[in-house]
Amino acid sequence: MKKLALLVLALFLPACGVRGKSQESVVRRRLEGEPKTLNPILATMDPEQIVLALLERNLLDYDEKLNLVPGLAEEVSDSPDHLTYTIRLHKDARWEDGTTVTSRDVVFTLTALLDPKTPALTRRALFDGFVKAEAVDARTARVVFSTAAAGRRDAFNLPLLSAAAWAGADVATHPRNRNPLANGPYRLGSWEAGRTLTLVRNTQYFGEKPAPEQVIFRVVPETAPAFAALQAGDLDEMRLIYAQKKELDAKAGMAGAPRVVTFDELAYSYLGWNNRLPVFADRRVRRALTMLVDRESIGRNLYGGLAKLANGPLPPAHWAWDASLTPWPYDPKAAEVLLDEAGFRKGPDGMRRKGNLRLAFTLSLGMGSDVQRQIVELAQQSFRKAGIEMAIQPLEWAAFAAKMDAGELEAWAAALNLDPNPDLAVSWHSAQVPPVGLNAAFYRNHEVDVLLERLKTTFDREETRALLARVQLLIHDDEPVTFLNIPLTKWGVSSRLTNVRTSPYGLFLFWPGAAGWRTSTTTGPIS
Amino acid sequence: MLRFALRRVASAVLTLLGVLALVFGLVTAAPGDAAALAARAGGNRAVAVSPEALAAFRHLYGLDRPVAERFLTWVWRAVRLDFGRSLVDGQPVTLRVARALPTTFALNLAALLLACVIGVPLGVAAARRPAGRLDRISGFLCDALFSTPSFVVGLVLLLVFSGWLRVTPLFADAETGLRGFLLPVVTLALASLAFVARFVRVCVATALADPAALAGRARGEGPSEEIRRALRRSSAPFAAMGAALVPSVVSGSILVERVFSLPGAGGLLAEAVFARDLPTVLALTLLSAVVVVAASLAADLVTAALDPRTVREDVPAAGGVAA
Amino acid sequence: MTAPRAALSRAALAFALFPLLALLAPLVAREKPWVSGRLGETVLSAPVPFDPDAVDLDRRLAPPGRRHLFGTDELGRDVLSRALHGARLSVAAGLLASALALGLGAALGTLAGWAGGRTDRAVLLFLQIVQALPALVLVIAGAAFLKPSFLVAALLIALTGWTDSARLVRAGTQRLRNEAFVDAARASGASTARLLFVHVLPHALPPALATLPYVLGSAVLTEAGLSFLGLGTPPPAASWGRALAEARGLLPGAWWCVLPPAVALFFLVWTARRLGDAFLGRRGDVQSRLA
Repeated sequence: MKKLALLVLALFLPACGVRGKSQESVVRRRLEGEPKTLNPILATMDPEQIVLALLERNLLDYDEKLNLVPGLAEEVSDSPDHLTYTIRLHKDARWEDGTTVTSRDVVFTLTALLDPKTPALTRRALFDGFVKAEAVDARTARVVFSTAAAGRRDAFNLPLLSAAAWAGADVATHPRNRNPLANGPYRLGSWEAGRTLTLVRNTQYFGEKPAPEQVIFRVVPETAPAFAALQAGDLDEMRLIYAQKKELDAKAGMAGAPRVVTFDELAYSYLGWNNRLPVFADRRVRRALTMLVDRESIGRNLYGGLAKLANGPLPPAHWAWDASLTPWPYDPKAAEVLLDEAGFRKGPDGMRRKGNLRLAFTLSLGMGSDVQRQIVELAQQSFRKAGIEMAIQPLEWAAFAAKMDAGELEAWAAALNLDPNPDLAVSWHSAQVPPVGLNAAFYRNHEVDVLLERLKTTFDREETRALLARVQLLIHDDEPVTFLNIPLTKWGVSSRLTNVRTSPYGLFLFWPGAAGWRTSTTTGPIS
Repeated sequence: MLRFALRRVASAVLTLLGVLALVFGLVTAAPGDAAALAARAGGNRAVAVSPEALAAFRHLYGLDRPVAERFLTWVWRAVRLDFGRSLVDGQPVTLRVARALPTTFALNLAALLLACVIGVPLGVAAARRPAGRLDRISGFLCDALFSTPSFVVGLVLLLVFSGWLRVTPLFADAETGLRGFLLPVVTLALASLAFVARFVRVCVATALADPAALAGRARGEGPSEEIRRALRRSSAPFAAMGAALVPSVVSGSILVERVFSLPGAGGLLAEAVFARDLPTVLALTLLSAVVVVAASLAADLVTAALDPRTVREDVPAAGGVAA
Repeated sequence: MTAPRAALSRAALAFALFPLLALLAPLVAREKPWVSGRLGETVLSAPVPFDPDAVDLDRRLAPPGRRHLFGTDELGRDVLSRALHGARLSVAAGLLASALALGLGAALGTLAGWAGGRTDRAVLLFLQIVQALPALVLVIAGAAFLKPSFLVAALLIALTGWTDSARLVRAGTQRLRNEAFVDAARASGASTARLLFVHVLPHALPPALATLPYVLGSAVLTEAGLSFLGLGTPPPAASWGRALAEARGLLPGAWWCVLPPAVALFFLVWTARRLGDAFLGRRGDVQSRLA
């Protein structure tokens, strides 16, 4: 019987270990889901952005420090009134078929983007006040707006569609959406639906050629199989959870063991409170709620020490973050005093109430990460001890989003990813409450409103910094939501990859990102 | 015969329309819509999308039309085999389903067959001596297998055979061929093995305890003949169980698909439901309804054709001896 | 021939252990001591001296040891205490759901198989619609209108789970309707109820009964799935299914979080199945004696 088992096993053996010919110049990467589209202006989800980062350059790209640097455009300059932007394209910029990237492509892209028939909802929002785009000459395009906006340059972190390739059919359903024309360091070689996308070096690329010849993306939704593959050498990179990081740390120094890369991202997690509700109307209550959540311990235990404390609406990775704001301390005693002051006193049953108003609410939990759920369960116990009754209502994502958009959530747990220059008005201006905007906390502070409006037309960086500092202070004082932690992002990277750099925008969404990676056996760039 | 066929067709059409209308209504009634989800960029990014833009999106996909009108439009198009485009990626729904279905179909069918190949003999052997050693041990093992969640079984198999021993590939694709499907098939088969084996065991044991079996024994039937007859007498519940199990070949098992990184119909359906992607949900529902109807029909035909008691002259013979 | 009867009582006793465990959980697993001294000091603590929801982050994911016999979970909660308290939810939801599923299935299956004709077609239509309806769709829509509770979860599981037993009972009834011994009973003037309960159901039900332990097991697991989607019992309830589902991210590291709920589920299924076997065995025994 045993012999038979060995025989059966042997049948499978020979075919394993057989791999493609030139392992050195192939990078094998993981995608957590399959891209829905590779149309660069429709792409929104992480897997799409990650693949496109190697296929398409943007007019302007973010560098490691999140400064905008030339990409397809040599230069994007604006008029003194900040209404007209002139784009000067790089003279060598070419599509993978050898044709030049021209101002016609710029005009085509913007026209497509602003066409209501194009479902590019998020990117279009950056072009509010758009009037027209026109070609000045083959290399120069001009874009005119009706309003000046401080964050306008960030809108030109914009990929292009080739007018020739995408013309003639509806952009939303164009066959090119699964076979894009590349202008970046790689082009799409093949796409096996649901499984792999193979990228090959783009010989027509105008910049420095990337070292690896091929990048193979594999869709691996679950983290445990991906981790097995990382350790077996079948994958070269993946996002790690804390337990996996610990396991790799233990193997550090062993030959061939993947290494851990950690970095700060532009993100934070929070517990949202609907300030419109009587229970949350008093900021003393909101501060008390924050002071009842042991964020130090959460950072130490749930994030394995790899998390910072959030102190307000901007994370430390943002250039204008105010380091001088001290996060509210974990202090259950002081919190109880604050609750007493706010009029919520403990009744005979140990629960707090103010008149007939019980300090009780329901917190909605969209299907987020495990850690998020753990934090909420932790807070629930802590609140209970302080006489606050919090029920947890798990919700499926679409239902959660719908309730949030309608402003119906009493309390919720969420994480927020920010853009390099986020418009804070979207989340904190009193005019941006649901159903119009994302201020689901119904936060209302007149001074903050005024500051946020001034920020929209403030182009000077130091003045912006000063205004943002004041906004952070005011929001920190009001604590409209409980700012929790900023977890460090953890990545496992194969030991054979070198020149892996990080930015607050992750490993990929800046320039050169993954395009700059080298495999240890390939020496230097080939040009 | 014609009457029977007509009735069956009418019932099939009613089933399809009923389930489709129900799904349409439920998905529409559920909170959240595709436009709002598209505006959220699949995650937590804070970008404000104007209500006008959302309205334009809804108009573009006809989400602003009355529910009844949308449903009838969909049915009318579906009759002409036009299932529309997905609200998630703008791809034709037929294409998306065609990409996901073969994997799920092959996987679940192979698993079901494997479960039957092992489970039926096991069940029969256990039934010959109820409460005997084989019955107790196989029952214990089957229950243990059933109670272990399939993602745990799958993960353990994957980590041992693909991660540690390296005898099977970690991921199945064109390159790895059938070897890549070995572990997922085994995982799924183990999950339904208990069900099949214990079901066969009870059916055959019941049939063996039947007066008719006693009569057979009295006539001097050998053990194998006895089992053969018992199996034949159990054909009705077997066919009914088949009709209950077979439709899983379309809906698949989402967790096993995920553990083995297989893009299947289970995952597609879940994704479509969560994204409120009605065209995809409806197409998959239609497919599974067709399989359910076909399996029902097959079960009824098998019951009618195979069960000896439905053949008139057998009945008095068997019953007569027993009495 | 008393062996089958003894087996039946033994199996029933083993199975009853779970409802008993569920009832006793609040007594067996609690932080409050059984006997306290005058100064509040513990004289006699409960066998499992931890509340199921009491968190202790500094002791999270502790492997099995002297303090926590079965270790702690991701929030430092005692795994054993949670498994014991989880029994209440899981056993109740599972039993209720599977009993409802079997009851509904048997009733509709008998109706369809016995009456035939138009009634049969109507039931079959309903059955096919339910079977083809993706359960996920029902759940997301249900979550919008129903308040989450274990009752809702049990009802929903039963509502989608009755089709298998209905098919089985229908097939059995159809076959038996024209049997000679049923005809004979009918000719001797037996009422329809007597025909059904004495002559038909005892023969038509066993295949459906055979699936019951597994329906029970699935119901326990499904309850967890529902609670993630906004139906079923919300956190911090410690149902077995929830513990298993949450442990998915902890494997293969913290295996001790998976073991107690998985083993508990196994024993539930196992004892239920043995009870079913013993019951069917005893019945078979009685029958062969009659014959």
